[in-house]
Amino acid sequence: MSDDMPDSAASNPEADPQAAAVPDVTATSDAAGVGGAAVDGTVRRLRAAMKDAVAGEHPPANLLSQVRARRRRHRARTALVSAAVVVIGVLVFPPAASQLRDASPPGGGPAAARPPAPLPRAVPGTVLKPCNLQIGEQLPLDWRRESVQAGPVWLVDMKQATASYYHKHKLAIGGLLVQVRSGVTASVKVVGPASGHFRFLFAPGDSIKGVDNRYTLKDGENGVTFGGCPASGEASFVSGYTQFGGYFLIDKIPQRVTLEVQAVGGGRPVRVTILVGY
Amino acid sequence: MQPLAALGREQSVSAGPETNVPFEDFVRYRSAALFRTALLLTGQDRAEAEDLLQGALERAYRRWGRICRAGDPERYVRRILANASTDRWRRLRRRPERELPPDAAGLVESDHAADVVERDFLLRALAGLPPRQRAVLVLRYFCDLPEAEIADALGCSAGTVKSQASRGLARLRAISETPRAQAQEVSQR
Repeated sequence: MSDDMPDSAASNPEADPQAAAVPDVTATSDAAGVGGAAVDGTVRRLRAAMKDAVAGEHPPANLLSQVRARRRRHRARTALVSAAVVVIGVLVFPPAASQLRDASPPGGGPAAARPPAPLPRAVPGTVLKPCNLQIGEQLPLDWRRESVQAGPVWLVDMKQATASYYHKHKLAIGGLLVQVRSGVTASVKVVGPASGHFRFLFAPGDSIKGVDNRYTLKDGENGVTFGGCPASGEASFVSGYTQFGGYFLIDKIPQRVTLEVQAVGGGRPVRVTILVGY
Repeated sequence: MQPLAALGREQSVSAGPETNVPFEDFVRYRSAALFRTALLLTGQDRAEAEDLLQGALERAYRRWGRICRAGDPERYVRRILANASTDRWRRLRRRPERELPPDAAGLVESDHAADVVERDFLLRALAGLPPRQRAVLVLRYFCDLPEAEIADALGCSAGTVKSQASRGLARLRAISETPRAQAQEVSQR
């Protein structure tokens, strides 16, 4: 996959597939109903001036990658703002929040009426993220393009993962969306040299401290076990997958992080390495 | 890719009630036209135009599936561009309307030079128009959009589009008469 536009398109207008896209502004005789020969003349000259002025202009060759980078920054900001909202909510309504935490039924909302499914067990050394904690964030059609697959798990937008440092804090946080094949329970663990520098934040309530600058790596988990919902109970927009949302902490970026994914009860573990940058 | 093939692809990008074009293809085949529109909307400020286009495409990227299902993604992106250009101006108020130099006669030496000067005057006058008027003129006379579509893009009535176009043109006409008159004056000497 290449983010960049072809060089020929950027440098050679003759070979530019977009050249035909420039409207032939002189071809239209209409004067917009604002009448008069002088206005017609002005319109004609304005059309020609605008056309000539931008005829040779092309967008930067790396426009697509810039757009993607901008989107990643937007998502990171959104994650931080969401965390801020949660913090404010907890501070303003602490009793309600604790009630919610204590009484949180499997499935929540409409699903609460259903009998709870037996919870899968967390793989040792990981925290369990069961089906009832799934989310349903909409993804672009081509979400797989920027995502990393490891067995039954997709790490969304992690081909070029980004994290942001807290103010005055030597710890960066990034958002992490995970798609797990429905019906499958799988663990994701950080392994290798980065295991001392990277932690998952997927436990309920983990985002509460997110903007409060009080996290340390010890607050996170080495791994997460994701319990994919049965196909009938998934809320993900991607059919056949259960979606989970959380964060990761990292104390040094850029850094390569190796993750090991293991489907419970089947197959060999799969390792993937991602580069976490700004 | 050959231009002919590109044209075919381009048609498939922007036509039809429902399109299913990958975002990357859309950017590849339509970004030049959109960038040129952005340049004119920003008064030919290249950095500003790049930022504007990036922002518009990023917003479109977020909900690409829905945009494609609605059909004509280019129309949607153009709408974001036009609105973002007026919003930015409203918010930042970076550039007040510009004064044109009082005397351009020194540059007028021939008919060709006079054309160049006039074109330059027009473009600078266009850049100096209030953002909404400029957006109307660019969408109407560069993108060749019908008034109804411009009204839809800018969130106003067709009557407003007409009046904005009329005022903008009147202003450009008044300004463009200046170098023309000066050119005639020089040639008569």
